[in-house]
Parts: sequence; C-alpha cells; structure tokens
Amino acid sequence: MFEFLSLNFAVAGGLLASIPFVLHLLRRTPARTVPFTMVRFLKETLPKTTRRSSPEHWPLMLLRILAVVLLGMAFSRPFQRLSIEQDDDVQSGQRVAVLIDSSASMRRDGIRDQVLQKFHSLADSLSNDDVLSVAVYSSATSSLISAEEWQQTPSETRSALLQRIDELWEPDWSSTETATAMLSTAEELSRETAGGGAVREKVLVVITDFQNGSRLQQLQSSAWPENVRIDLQVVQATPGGNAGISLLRENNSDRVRVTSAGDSTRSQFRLQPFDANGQPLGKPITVDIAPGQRRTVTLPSTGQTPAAGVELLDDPHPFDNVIDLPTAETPVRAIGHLGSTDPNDSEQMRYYLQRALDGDETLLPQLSDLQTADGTIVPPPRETRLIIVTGTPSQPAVQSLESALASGRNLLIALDSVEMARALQPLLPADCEVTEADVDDYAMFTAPDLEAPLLRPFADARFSDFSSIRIWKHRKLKLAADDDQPPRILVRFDNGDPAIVEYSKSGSGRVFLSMTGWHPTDSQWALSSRFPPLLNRLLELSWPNESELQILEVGSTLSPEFLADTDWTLTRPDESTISASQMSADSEGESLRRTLVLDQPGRWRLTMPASTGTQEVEFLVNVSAAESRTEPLPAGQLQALGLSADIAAIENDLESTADAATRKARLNAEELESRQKIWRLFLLAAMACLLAEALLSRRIERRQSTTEAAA
Amino acid sequence: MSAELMNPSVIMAIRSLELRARLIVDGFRTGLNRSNRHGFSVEFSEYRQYTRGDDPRFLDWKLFARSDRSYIRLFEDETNLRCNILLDISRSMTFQSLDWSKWNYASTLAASLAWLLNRQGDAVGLTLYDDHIREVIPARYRPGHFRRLLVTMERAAAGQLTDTAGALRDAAERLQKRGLVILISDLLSPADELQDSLRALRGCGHDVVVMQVLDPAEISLSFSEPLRFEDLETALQIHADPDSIRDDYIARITEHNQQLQRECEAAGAIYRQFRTDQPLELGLAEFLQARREFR
Repeated sequence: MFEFLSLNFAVAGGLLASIPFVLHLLRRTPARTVPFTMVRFLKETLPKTTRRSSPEHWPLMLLRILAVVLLGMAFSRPFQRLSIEQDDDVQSGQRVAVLIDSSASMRRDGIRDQVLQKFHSLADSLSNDDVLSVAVYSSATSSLISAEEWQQTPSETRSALLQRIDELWEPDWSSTETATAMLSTAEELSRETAGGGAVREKVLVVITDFQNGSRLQQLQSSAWPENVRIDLQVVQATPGGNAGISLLRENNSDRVRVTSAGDSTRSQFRLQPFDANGQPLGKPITVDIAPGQRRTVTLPSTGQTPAAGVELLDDPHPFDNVIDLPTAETPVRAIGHLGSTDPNDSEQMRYYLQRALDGDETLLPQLSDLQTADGTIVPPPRETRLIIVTGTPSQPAVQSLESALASGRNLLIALDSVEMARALQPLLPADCEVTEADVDDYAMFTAPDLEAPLLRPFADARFSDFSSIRIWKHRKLKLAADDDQPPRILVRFDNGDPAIVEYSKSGSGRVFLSMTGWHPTDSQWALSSRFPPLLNRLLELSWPNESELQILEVGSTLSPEFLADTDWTLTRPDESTISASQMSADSEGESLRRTLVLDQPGRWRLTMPASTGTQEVEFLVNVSAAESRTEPLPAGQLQALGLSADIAAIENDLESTADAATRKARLNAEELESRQKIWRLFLLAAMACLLAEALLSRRIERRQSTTEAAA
Repeated sequence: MSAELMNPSVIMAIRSLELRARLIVDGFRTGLNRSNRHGFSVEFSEYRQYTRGDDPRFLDWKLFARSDRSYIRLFEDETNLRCNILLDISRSMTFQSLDWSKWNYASTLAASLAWLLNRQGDAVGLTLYDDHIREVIPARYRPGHFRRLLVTMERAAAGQLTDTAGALRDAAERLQKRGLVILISDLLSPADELQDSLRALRGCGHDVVVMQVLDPAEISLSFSEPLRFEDLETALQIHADPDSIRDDYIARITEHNQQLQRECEAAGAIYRQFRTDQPLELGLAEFLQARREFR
C-alpha cells in the first residue's frame, strides 16, 4: 500500500470529497425562461432549492468525488515503502565529505567539544561501505583526511584515522569563507566517480558555528550541484554573544571600531590601552553599544608613553579583543631643492612645487632649499632621497649634486634656459647638445612611455593624455648617437624632440631631466591635473618600500614588491623570524605560500637593507571584523540563498537522537517519493476522471435540454 | 346560442385571414339593415327642389337648361358610417399560450368586423400602431379596399413597445370626419393614461369601442412550475413561482381591467374584453350591441 509524505493533503482531499455529495443532494431548481407580457404584475420570488434523499446523477457525483480524492492523494506525495529495502541492498554506501570550520570565531569557549562530538557521532554512524573525507576551512580549505586515504585504510584501523582530527583540527585566526569552501568541495564531490560502484548519495556535512560573518553570498550566485546534499551541523558557543575591535587609520589618527554581535547580552564594554610591556595605560574608556551594532571610538592620547595596543574588556570571548597600534613614526620625505629660494614668487617653479607637495597628506613631503639666498650651499640632509633642480646652480652646488647622485639619491632637473644646461653639463647625458627650441605658438607633450616606472600610474587610457598641456618655451635636446646607455625618453614634444628623459650617471641614483619648466614663462604644466600625480610618483620611486603603514587582515598575503630584495627578515608577532635565505632554501610551493600569508594577528615587521641603512616596514594584522559578528544565522538562510530544502538540511546541536532518526526516515521517504513519482499516476487518474466528468455532464445537459424543448 | 358558435381553434386553423373573416361573418346571422338615409352616390334616387343652402354641385344643370327650374339630384346613400379600426401590433400581442396568439385573434376580429361593415356598405379604415402609428389606411368603401386591409394586416410585422394613448391622440388628429373608432389591443399600459386620449376622440365626435384581447394565461397565470418570466417588450426578467403569487397576480390584473373599464366609461367609450379562447362571433355580437348602445 501507499504511504504519504504530506498526509494533510490526502485528509483534505477526503474532506473535500464530501462537497460533491452534498451538492448532488441539494438541487436548485433550474428555472426555465418563458416570454410573458404581464411581467409588471408579477411579484419576484427567490429560486427554491430542494433537498433530496438520494443524490442526483450519481455516476457524475462519483466521478467528481474520485477526482477530488485523487488530486488530494497526488498532492500528498505518495510512495511505496516496499522498494526501499531492495534499493538498499543493491546500492553501495554514501560518499560523505566533512567540512569543519576553523575560522577565528571557532576559538570561542565550548565550540571545540561540540565539533569533535558531532564529528565522531557522524563517523560512528557511517557503514563500512561509506566513503569519508575531512577538510578544514577558514579563508582557505585544506584536507585532513582524503577519500583515497579512507578507502585504502582497513575498516578496523579507521578509528586511528579519525583520532587524527582531534589532534589536527585547531581553529586559526582567519576569516570564514564558507561559501567558497562549500562550493569547491561540492564541485569536487559532484565530479567524483566512485571507484567501487554506484554511490547511493553524496552528502556534504558542514560543521560550523554558522555565524553572521560566514560570507555565504557566493552561494546565491553559483549553481549548486544537484547530486550533492548539504547536512549543516551548527555548533554554538557557551555563553553566547561576542564583541570585537578592529583598527581604523585615517589622517594619521588612531580609531578603534567596536563591533557587538547580535546575540550579545551586554551593551557596555571597556577599552583599555596598554604599553609595549602589556601594562595598562590610564583608565579604561567605557563604550556603550547595542547588540548587533558597531561604534567607532577615537583613542585619547596616553601622554608620554605611546600606547602599543588596546584591549576590549568585559567580553566573554577574547579571540578578537586585542589589537596593536602603530608605534613607528611615519618617515618624513625630505626633498632637496636647488633654484629660487623665494617660496612666494609665482613666476618661479618653486612656488608651484611647494603647493603640489603640500597637498600630499599621506606621504608628508618636506621641501628644503639646498642653497640659501646668499648662495651658501647646504648639504642635503641624510634622509633626503630626491633633489629637484629648477634654477642655474653654482659650481659647488653641481658638485654637491654629483655626490648626492652617486650616493643613490634621485634628481629631477627642469631646464629653464640653455645657460642652466651649460652649468649642469656634468649631470646631463654624455655628449648631448642643448639649444633653445623655436616654438611656433605652442608645443605639446606627446608619446608618453607608459611602461616607464615614472609614468606607469598614467597607463589607464583615462589619464594617458598629456596633450592638453601647452608649452610656450622649451629646450631642444640632441642626444649623442654613440651613447652605450642612451637615456630613456619618457615624453616627447609634438615635434619629436625629447621632453622628459630618464638616465643614470653614476651610482644607483636616477636623473629625470625635463626640457621645459612648469612655471608660467615656460608652460601651463603646473596647472595640469597631471602635475601632482607625477610628483607623487617620483616620491614613491624615491622611497620605494616604506611608503605607508600597512594595516591588514589575518590571511593577507605579503605583496611581492616587499620581497623583491634578496635580503630581508620578517618578524612574526610571536618574535619568530623568517628570512629570505630560508625562503630560497625551501623550494616547496606550499611552504612558500604558507610563509608569506600573515596568519597571526599582531605586529609583523619586515626588515630590509636600504641605501640609507636598514629599512623597517610594519604590518599591523587584525582579526577580520566579520569574525566578531558571531550571532548564528537563521536556519533558513541556505534556503534564502537559493538552495532548496531538499538539498540543505539544517541540524542544530539540540536535536535529539529520536529526532535524528525521524529526520533520517523522512529523508529516506522523500528520496523514495522523488524516485518513484507515484503522484504522477494519481494526477493522471484525476485528469481522466475530470475528462470523463466533463463528457458525462455535457451528455446529461444535452439530454435535459432536448427534454425541455420537447416539453 | 353558444352551441352554434364556431370553435376558435377551427377558425384559427384556417390560414387565410379573408376566409376566416367571411366564415365568421357569414355564420353570424343577424339582420343587417340597409341605411335608409339618402346620400350622394352613383345610384339615382329622386329629384328635390333646390332650396337655399343646398350644395350647388348637385344641381341638375341639364334640367335647369331645359325647364329653367332648379332641382337637386338625390342619390341613394350607400354608407354614412366611417369606421376606423386601430389595431395594436406591439410585441406583447405575439404572446400565446394556445395555438394562436393574441395577434392572430385580434387581426381575425378586425378582419371580421371589416368584412361585416363592408358587407353593410360602410367605409372601413385601418390604423396599425405600437409605440407610434405604423401604417394608416383611410376609411373607404370601394372594390378591393377590403382586400387591401387584409393584406396590410397579414404582412404586418410585430412592433416593439406599446403606446396606446399616443396612438389614440394621433388618430384623433388624423380622423377628420366623425365616425366609429374601434380599438383592438391587449391594453397592458397603465389604465389612467388612456382616459385623456379617449376623451379627445370622443370630443371629435367619434364613437369609440375598446376591445381588449387577452390570453387566458394572462388572466389566470396558468403556469404550473417556477419560471423565469421575460417581458416581451422590455426583456425584463423576473423569477417567480406562479403557485405562490397567482392570487396576488389575479387580483392585480383584475384591478387593472376594472380600472380600464372605469376609464372607458368615464370617457364615454364602450369597453369589451375578449379572451383568445372565446368564439370570435361573440366579438361581432358585442360590436353590434355596442352600436345599438351608441344609437
């Protein structure tokens, strides 16, 4: 006999079947229409209904009752239990892939025990034919037990394999990329073909805290493989609720963002700054914040002793409660200048240079004159790495520039006259010839070399047009034809002459030579929107690796430009170090990747040799703010993201064994029902009944009308 | 007398309206008196001395030339009665619960009256109307006139709504010479509308006979089952159970007919009601009775 998945529909069908019976007992007398003349003398009466003791047109009534009952049965999803045992005998085991969340939020109290308990109870329920694989995921997925390993291990010794999870599974500090992990694992599962025969079912078991910051959105935009079912096992921390902090840096001031999870029970927390030794500095700051909200707090000054970090107090789960604050001062970009010393003379290039550099708030450049008004030469400060020459220098000044160039400093020379070129002859390309150009009306910059490091920021087509800059006067540079290392022509004038060239003379310093100035006498260059970015790029090239403090999230990878040097040392927050020599000795790709990922929160320091000594770059690595949003997502979240209820079953840790058995039986029944599709037969039978009913009722109607006509 | 009357079903089975009329009239053997008044016609009667006031058209000019005396030629007056039959052709006249409709009955009655009067030598005219006058044949007495009346009645199509009062007012304006006006209709419109029109006709010197033709089902509501009644003229539909409303209906229709009769009497007209299951000769008898009442 049949069983039903949704018995309600069958019951409803049975109840509704009584309606045709009642309607056939109650008969409204059909009123014949007759023409009449004295209608205005008639008084209207309501049509009468008569009740009969036996139904009228009982074959019609039976057809109608049958159609209603069959429809109800079709909707109640019938199936036959008989075939399941046979199927089980024929089919082999199921393929189970377990994904265990190892993100930072899984560090909360009470979660580890639940994870292991759920995993082992799942492993215990597997039969010998089932194939298991286990992987952990946070921002990336890594396998702990592969399916091949499971299959090759004899069933007696598999318990030892399972014990490995207890040792190997440890939450890291990364954020949770649940959707990525689920999709990639499900994709592998769906493509996988069983070696030993047909697999009855492919199940992806995800053991997770299913927190709000799980990043599930990708599930919505991706197609889920139909043959992979999800079994979501949710674990919950005890006690619930959480709050976390993350660092924001804006305009060189330190601000802390406090995030409270939606299930927090507290609404007041304290922020305690501490020094480099971990000792509290001053009184804690009280922060009021409602559950589910976040708030940004500007840290007050801690006086003489700078704060090395901040800790959030009164939160039950401390994994995201400590951040480090930047201690290193932002280095000053000292730029030397040779030329006019009057900062307010708008006819001179220095005036525009000062204004363009003042607008740069991130690099904080400082322009200083290397020659005083009375002609005294000031040696460039030690930290100076860029010297800009805008006027004709004296002979000692040229010598000073030569030595600066030799020591690795960069030069930007803007030639405003042929005399200036003569004075700077030792610094110009070898055997070149500079003459005043004959400009008809105005000249333009063309053909920028966008591959050159100086112009690379302008490579986008939106910014690569320099032709809007009008040049009234410029110098003509004729380069020697037999130069072994010819200068690189970065920009040309529209007549083909070089406009800006780059070359090196001696040492590691580079010379950028412009054949025109940016002051009004020569051009409109200073007015152009290309001028400040060009100077900024020059600063970046002069101070390559200590451009800014890096605030990153756990899981970030170090940019390769930091590791371009051959000798560097990376110090982790726990003071362990990694050096370039270790990296080159280890040729394994996996090891390389793991090393370069910043996998701990705290202060990382990268030390590199530099021309001016040792250079240190500091990385402040925080736990992702999403990990602090620990409130569990609603049970229907997977369905809301487009996964059908058949695919995604959610089990929380409160489910009893009896409930689990019931759920399993129901899943089996659903599988049987979806395989047998008996509802189609019922639906067809109902349609046949309705068709027969239509034919019969039409026949009866025709017979009645014939009788009436005869009457 | 009734035993000698013809069964209406026999009469109505005859298709020809003329034959029906002749049968009815011929079977109705009542003395028809020739008019004993002199008139102006083709058949010479006698001479009479001209006196002042006589119409000079009828002077015998030849005699005057011969004898220098003025005489008026008198002719036998063939008719002095001008009868106009107003026949209702509205859609309600098509109702029938018997094998013939009210229209069949009313047109046969009109044809019989026309034949009867024609045989007496009276001039008969015919006016067909529904909500306004559709066709008018002036009263004449001449060969072929009776046939023209019959053809007009036979080809008359059923009209729409009824406006008997309006038709009577129109007729009063059109009929210049006084005579007899016979109105044959089912008279379903409200009775109080009729009185003014009847008075207008009477004011013009016409004698008016109102013959109301009703189907037996209209009088007794002889339907046995609940029905949806559709008005023939307005298409209004009403569901009614005849058994439960019959008494009320009969009371209303009786009241309507009695009011009709009162209105007619008040206006000086003669009212007669005919059921379509009654012998048509009764109609002729009623007509003659009415004529006697007018004299």
